[in-house]
Amino acid sequence: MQHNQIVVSIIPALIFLFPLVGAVGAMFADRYRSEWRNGAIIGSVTLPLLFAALLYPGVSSGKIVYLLINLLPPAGIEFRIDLLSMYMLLLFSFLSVIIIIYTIGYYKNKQEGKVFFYFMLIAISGCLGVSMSGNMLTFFLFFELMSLSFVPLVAYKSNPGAYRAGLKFFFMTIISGVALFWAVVITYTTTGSLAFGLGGLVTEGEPVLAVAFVCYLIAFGIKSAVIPLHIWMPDAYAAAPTPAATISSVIMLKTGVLGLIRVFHDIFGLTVIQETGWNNILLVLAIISMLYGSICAFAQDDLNRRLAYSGIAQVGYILLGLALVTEMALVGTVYHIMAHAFMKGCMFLCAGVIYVNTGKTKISEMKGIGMQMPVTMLAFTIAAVSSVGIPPFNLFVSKWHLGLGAIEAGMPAIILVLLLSSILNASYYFPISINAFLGCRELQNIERQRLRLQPLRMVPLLIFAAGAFIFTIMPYNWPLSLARAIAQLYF
Amino acid sequence: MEYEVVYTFLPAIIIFVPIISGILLFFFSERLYSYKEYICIGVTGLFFLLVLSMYPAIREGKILLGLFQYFSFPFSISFKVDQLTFFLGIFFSFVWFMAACFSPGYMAHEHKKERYYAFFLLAEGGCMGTIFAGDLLGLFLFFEFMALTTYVLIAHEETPVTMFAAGKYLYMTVGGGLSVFFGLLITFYLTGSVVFTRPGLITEPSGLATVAFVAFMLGFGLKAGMFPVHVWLPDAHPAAPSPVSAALSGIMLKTGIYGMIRVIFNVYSPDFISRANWDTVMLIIAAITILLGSAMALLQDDLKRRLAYSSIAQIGYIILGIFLLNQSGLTGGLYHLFTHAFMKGLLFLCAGAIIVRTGIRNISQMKGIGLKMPLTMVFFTIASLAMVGIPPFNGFISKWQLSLASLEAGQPVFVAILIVSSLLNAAYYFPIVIAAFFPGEKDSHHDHESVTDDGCSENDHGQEADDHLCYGGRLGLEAPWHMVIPMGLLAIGCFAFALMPVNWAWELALAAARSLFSM
Repeated sequence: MQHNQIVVSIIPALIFLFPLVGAVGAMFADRYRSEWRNGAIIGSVTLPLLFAALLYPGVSSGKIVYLLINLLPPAGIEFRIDLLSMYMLLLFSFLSVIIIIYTIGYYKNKQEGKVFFYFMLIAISGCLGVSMSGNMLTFFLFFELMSLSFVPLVAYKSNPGAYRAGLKFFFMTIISGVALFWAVVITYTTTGSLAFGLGGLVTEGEPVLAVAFVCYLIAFGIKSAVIPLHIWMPDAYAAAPTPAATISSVIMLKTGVLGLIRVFHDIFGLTVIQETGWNNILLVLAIISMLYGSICAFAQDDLNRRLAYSGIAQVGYILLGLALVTEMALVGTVYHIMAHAFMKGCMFLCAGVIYVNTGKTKISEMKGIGMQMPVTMLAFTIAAVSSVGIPPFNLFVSKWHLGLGAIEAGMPAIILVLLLSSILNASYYFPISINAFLGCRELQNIERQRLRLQPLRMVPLLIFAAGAFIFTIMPYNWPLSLARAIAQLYF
Repeated sequence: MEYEVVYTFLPAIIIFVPIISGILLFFFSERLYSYKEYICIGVTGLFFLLVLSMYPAIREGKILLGLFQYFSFPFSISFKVDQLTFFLGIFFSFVWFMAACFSPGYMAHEHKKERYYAFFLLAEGGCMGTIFAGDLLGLFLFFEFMALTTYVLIAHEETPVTMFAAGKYLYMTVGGGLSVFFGLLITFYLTGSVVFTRPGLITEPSGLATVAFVAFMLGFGLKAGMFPVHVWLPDAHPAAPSPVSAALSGIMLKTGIYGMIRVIFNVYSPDFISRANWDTVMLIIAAITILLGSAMALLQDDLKRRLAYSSIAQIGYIILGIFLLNQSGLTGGLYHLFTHAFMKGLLFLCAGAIIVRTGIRNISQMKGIGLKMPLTMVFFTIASLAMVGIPPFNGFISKWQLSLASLEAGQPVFVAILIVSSLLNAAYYFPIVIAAFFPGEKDSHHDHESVTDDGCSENDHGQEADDHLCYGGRLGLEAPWHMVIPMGLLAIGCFAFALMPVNWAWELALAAARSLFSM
């Protein structure tokens, strides 16, 4: 790992600056030239994607893109794009483009969504920065930027519920920030470094490092909504506008996971983790999340809430793979990050389309909605079916690797949990699709009329739906090979 | 015996004919609406012919192998037609074809026909893909595809009862699929491959191997309707439209059996299984399945429900045959697989014809129905006789063979079980037939079955109707020709092979069994 050729480049700084500049640009455009605004927004998220794609060939051939800005001593703002960062960067920038396009469709009224976009772009900048960070301090910085700019997004609907949810999220973010701060301080004082990519800074599992580990768990666990730190999430998703919930679910949750991967593999290192058995803490949390999230999802009638709880379960899968500390499981984790993003993104966008077009948020009201919006519900069905883990969908691949990882780790019983959770997945997603299309013979004709849908809302949704299976039916499963390469680097 | 392997795209192409036409029919349902029946019948017929076209190669002892590179995880899937899969494919595609031909008559008064025909084709593609897949991953892929598309067919009528039954089917089948997934995972972990090879992939006994076997048996057994995971079956069959019931019971249950055969011969090996004594467990389960299915069938008054329980019993025969782990047992099992596909398919089509023409579902109301629908009931009688196993019907051959195989395996107790079950078969089929043709003394309620001109009305509430309304005449209720012909062809299939100088189906079953045991 140390022999990689390092390429110093300004591009990482550009990538994270584009959305920030875009936010400012959108602000000015709103004031002076409102017709330029959409261009500014789309441009500022598309450029990072292009630049990330530009970096891809180099990084995939083993080079590391590096940039050090000596701003924050002692560690400095350090960007370091290795394969994992590249994977995350591509994923995040691609997803943010799609979500931004959808948001433009969601807020057709420009005034209504004005401020929303500024914070959205800042949050995206934070996410991209997180994915490129080269040390924990930089990670911390962007992590906070992202979290704090998400607070106004949660509270954007400006009703009491939204304020409450926003406040709750804000406090959780503060706790997460404090925990991360302590963890960083402890790590730096004991090891003298915060840099990633050295294959583990910690050499011995001292008690003080256990404190740091728990702090990391709390900090990133809050963001990735691990039980029992998930409490902000269902409220926030139910209250927030759909694009905010989507970006949180498909991107921000993953930054928490990325943080934990970094903690496991770059801060502590595998040997320490395995010797001390600290991964078992995460393992237990992950298993509880998988089951508890799925069971809670059952009880929800609010679609966004159900998706939120299901997200908790899905993050359980992702962290399970990390906590098993085997190569196959890590492949599953990395792949599932992508798989979950497409699946859950599709579902959230569907929920948003349903809400914008019919005003419905409750699942019980959605009977026969497939007659009004067949394409939307078809996309939802694809996502629902993919969530069960049936080939040829992405989730099959990730569950497959997670299962192999579990056997490798000598714990085949975990597969039963995985399967149980999958059945639960089916049983809370399928009824939505089924009720949308079937069992509605008594509906009035007026309720069967097809609605006219906005292409700006539908295209992102369909892209997500296609993402649920497009890679696996290709001759070359590109994310899978990336995930394998990443796991190989670490093991 | 060595089998020559021929690389060809034919199996892959064959599978995608119904799938792609189903998708097209679904998405262009408005434009294709008026052709939907013809498309469905045409495609299933074409499918049958395509499968038939592989016969010369199969007869020469070749194996058709098609690699399908457009699926990158974790390796490309393949399609394979060997003696076993050809045997299944040829008869199954025929029954699918017959069910498709029967559909327009049955579905005449149903809603959402375009959806029905589209999913009919998709389910056929899934079912045949399950059989023609060359590895466990492909098998699993199509198995799940079939399971999910069948859901829409079962739920077609969209009444609360139907939705409940279909929901039960869906969640159980998803659970079964995940169980197969578990087995698949362990197999891959232990051996690094899921391709069907001989001898089996897993050769070393271990805890994981046992777990995998249990998982496979649960998953495939669930689809097949094996005790104790049969509970979805008696609800799903009556709920589904009759052609779907015919396909479901006649064919789709058999994909579970096919999965079991692959597990026995390609994942493990017969020796391995008998060494581990798993066959004893499975034989006991088979015996319970036979007796339970037959006994429960006796108690049902709903005709389709009775047929459904009867299917469970018949599946028990087949499981019994294949887990005797000798060549004659497998031959008997395979032959019964084909036999049952024809018999039960026919019975369900007859039940469908009765339902669509008279609206009667309950056996107690079927007195004298043979006088109104003679052809239908003659076919029903033929199928019943075959079910009971009277020569010269097919059922006789398979039961004979199964009994022989039981004796060969030194398990005469199964002969007794077969006989008891045959008696039970007779006890629950013959009364229907007898009452149908000999209604006995006409009591005051002889016309209790309410019958109206299109036969769609409900028959309860003591609605009175008289024969004059019904197209006049006694035979006026007979199903139209386009429903009679598929039933007739299946009825001929119930005995024709046994009467021919060379029993072609038997030869195929024998070749299939030999191919599995020889290598």
